Amino acid sequence: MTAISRTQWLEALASSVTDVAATMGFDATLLPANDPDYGPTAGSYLSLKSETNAIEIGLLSSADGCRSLAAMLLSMEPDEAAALENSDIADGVGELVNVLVGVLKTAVAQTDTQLQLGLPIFVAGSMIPGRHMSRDTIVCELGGTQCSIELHVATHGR
Amino acid sequence: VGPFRAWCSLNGAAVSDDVAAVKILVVDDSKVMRMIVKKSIRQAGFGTAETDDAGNASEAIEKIGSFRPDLVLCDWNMPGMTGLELLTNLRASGNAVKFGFITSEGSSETRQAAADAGALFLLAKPFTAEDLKTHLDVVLAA
Repeated sequence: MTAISRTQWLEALASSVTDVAATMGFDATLLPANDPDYGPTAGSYLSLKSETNAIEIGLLSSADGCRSLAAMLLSMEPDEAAALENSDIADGVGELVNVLVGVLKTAVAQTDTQLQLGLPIFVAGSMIPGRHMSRDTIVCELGGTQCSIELHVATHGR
Repeated sequence: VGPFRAWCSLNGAAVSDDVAAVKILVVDDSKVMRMIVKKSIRQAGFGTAETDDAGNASEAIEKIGSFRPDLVLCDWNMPGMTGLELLTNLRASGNAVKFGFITSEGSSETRQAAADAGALFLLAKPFTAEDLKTHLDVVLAA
């Protein structure tokens, strides 16, 4: 297996975001990462690991943004979204990141066939990557909701 | 039209009487995903199918015994017993219920493992209701 570089991961991730949005029928727009008015407060993380490569992907947004993402997944109208329970919001954002990382895994499968998906973890705040992991962020709008997609890449493999 | 409704749009798929008695069990640890799959079944033209769901493999084994589905639609990655382990256990116990995966695991290795274990298809997420209809039409007609 070959180690996948941060640049390769980022390119594959951006492409995967676009692919997922196209299939699921919502807009995805990549934004400059320096928007001072935007601060994500919660989201879901999922790991993708093999003997050679190890990453974590996080899909983060504000509390209202997480609610909007879950509602978008369920095709709910805005007034219906208000009824979503926190567990459903966590579940929905987790499922979105699960789909995204699944597509990402397939995108890099020719380079690493041993990658294994983890299970999504919902966090308040954001995860701080370990000292052997890099962190990159893609800021984007998914279906009109501003989000951050974090990429943590292990710099020394698993 | 919301994204999921667009995602599931089928341009007027008809519901036929011959699927009225079909029973489908949806197995996924995500409640949201179970809701989406059941909605997709309806959007795929199987609105008269009777559906039930299970949040893990152990619950699925119970419901396969009591609900007696014609088809199980199952996630791959679940806490505890995975979908593949569930299918393997079912076949080892002599249960031949029709079984398909709906999963974010879409690699060729995963597809081969699913087929080797006896799955009739593997539908990778994200999917459209039309994708699901393609599989349901084949599997439930057999």
